Amino acid sequence: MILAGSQNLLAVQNAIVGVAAKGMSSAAFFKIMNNSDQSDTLYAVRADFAEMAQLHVSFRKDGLVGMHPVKFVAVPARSTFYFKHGGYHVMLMGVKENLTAGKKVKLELLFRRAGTITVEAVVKR
Amino acid sequence: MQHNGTLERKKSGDRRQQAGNRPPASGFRPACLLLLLTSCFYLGCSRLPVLEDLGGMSYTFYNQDSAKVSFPSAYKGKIVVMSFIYTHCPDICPLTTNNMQHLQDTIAADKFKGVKFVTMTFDPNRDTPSVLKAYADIRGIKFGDWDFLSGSDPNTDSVTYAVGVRYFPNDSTYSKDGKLSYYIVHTDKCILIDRNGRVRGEYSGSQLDFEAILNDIKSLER
Repeated sequence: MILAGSQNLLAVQNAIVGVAAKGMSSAAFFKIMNNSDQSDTLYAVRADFAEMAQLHVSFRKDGLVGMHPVKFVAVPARSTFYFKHGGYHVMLMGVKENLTAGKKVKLELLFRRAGTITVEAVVKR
Repeated sequence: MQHNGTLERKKSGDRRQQAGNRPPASGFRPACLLLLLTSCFYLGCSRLPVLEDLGGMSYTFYNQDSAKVSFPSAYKGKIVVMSFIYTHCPDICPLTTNNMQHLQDTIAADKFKGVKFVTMTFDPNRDTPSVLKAYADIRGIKFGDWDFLSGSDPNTDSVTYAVGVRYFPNDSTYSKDGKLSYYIVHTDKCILIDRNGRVRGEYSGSQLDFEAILNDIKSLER
């Protein structure tokens, strides 16, 4: 495990987590840059500051919005994959402390090939 | 979903009903125009159509301080920007709340007066007044002109039905301690209500068109 947010040719950058009061839900967003010639798969996220972390995707259809869990996210070779508002995000349920703007928290991203990548995320409104 | 209260849609004032209408060809047209202009001068008018009249409603809600609020009469005489959220939503609803905050700051900077912000939860069983207060506090929301409302299921259903906000539970997850957590599919909407409790504008909450809603607020202020 490393703390720099990258391993070999896979890097995770610009990680942010939304503000949330203790006990509530939040979400994490970041970008994954796969500079290798092989695709990789993000299959889990660990967040010690939340009761549960799940990979989710939001959808918009016929004026309605919603989200549902996904089991994994494939990151193709030589590509950048964005976890962003309105799309893929890490659902963080039951945060264990107040997440106020400016605070920093750690996320562990588990990839099939690259292994575990630990990133520091900044809490933002 | 239950609905109580009487919801009479005023079709004559609904722009969706007016599409394609043409004024009658008659000699009364100049007189009608004069009457309209006179009415506008004395009563105040806006280019915005009436989408729904909530004036006949009266439903009890509770704000973030658990104070009773009669909706919409508590806001009579105010222009209201209203959004609909649930606090367990981590992605879309926070964007809506952020947009409302930005709008509140813009309006304060422009020195508009008499604009009130209202956020209603459509998940009142989880979003109690204290939960709504915590949700707003952590975001630094200024409560002076902003209410977060929670009410009974029937009252919530009645208001949201009238303004065209739909919601229903979708996927769910059990936490490690066996607690069920569910997500809600919902309409992404905020609305603009005039001083008489009439809906005059509808917008995406998470993708709010600031220029459009500010122009519409100015239009209602005249």
